[in-house]
Amino acid sequence: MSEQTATCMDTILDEVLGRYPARPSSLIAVLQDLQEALNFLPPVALNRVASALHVPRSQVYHVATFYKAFSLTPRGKHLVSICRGTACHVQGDEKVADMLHAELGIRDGETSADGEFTLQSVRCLGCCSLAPVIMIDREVFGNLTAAALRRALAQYRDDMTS
Amino acid sequence: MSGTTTGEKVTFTLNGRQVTAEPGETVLSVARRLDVHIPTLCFHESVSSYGACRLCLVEVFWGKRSKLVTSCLYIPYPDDRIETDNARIHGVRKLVLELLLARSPHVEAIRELAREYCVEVPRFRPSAVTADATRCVLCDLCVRVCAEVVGQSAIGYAGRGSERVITVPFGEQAEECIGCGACVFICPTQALSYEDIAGQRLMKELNTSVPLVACRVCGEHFATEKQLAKLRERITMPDELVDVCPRCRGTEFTRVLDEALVTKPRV
Repeated sequence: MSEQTATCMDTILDEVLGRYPARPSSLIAVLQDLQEALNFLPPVALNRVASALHVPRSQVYHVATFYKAFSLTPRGKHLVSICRGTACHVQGDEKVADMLHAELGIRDGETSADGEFTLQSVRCLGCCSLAPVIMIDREVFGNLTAAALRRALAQYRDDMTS
Repeated sequence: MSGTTTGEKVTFTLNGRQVTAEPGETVLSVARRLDVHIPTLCFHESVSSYGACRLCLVEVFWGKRSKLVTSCLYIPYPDDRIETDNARIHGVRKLVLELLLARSPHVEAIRELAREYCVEVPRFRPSAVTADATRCVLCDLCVRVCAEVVGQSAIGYAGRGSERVITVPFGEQAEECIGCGACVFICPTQALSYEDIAGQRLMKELNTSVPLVACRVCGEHFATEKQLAKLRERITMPDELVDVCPRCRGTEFTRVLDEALVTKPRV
């Protein structure tokens, strides 16, 4: 880690820790904010959180590995969630996964080499009438076709070039 | 949880016998006191109860209703009618043992309990994660002893569901671990172990090594530096006896005492 990112991390940590009372019950809120700010939870951050909130490191690690919302490895800028619910399964979620693999070169749980996209399977996004469906960050793309999927990804690719 | 909060003794029925629990005493404790056998894996009197292994289940009856509770946690109400072994309990314990045996087929403690309950070949197959037949049944004893007795909280969990494992943070060298071996000692399934090699105590499954100290008298490595530092904090032992191994301590104590008497004669 370069010196610059280390200082940047310290600033973010100070800022996030400052939002909550320094006690064990703040743990999840702090981790959520850090996940949001850093896109993952690096060991240095977890160690700092442990000493700041007076929680044993073992417990911080337990919580950080328990919830799917937390990631200990860097996630891409955009999180692509493929719905694996029954309706999407019937409508061909596997084909969607294959298309995403062809487009981004990543499988479930992986992050693309350029650090732009992370792929994850989720059980059901709750909009079965739109099957097959994916979600990129907070935006839902339903009734997917190969063309629609490419358009959706392009939109996010453009996002970061602009 | 359960039970009375009045801080009074509780009289209830255990296997048809009128018995009395001390205020706050669990069914398991009463049963052990009266030599009533209840199997357990995750219970140890030195740490708090956790209710993980489900082997100590007993049935509580109130009139026509009944339910299964973990006796290591259940504090009886007055007039509870409790049975510690019957067909229902036997069936549930048998199921639990089938699951445990499927997960950890090499653990002698589990095999013995399984034999006692006539479980031979479990109907279940371990999940992909535990397919290499882990010895750990996630009973939490090591986590509790490290937190409650040793006061270090070096050990904890990672992951969830079938992927849950016991580990130190990030699975690597943990500074919190003092290498005392309490977790190895308390583990009912020998899932944890350590080895003393080349002046280091290696906590094998915890990927942590801690420097050992040689006894000042006989030179044998007998404890870790961090363990002795912890001892110094906690007990009132003359400082010059802390780095002497238990075997030499007796003679060393006499010597130190003699020396003290010679250098500082009583007036």
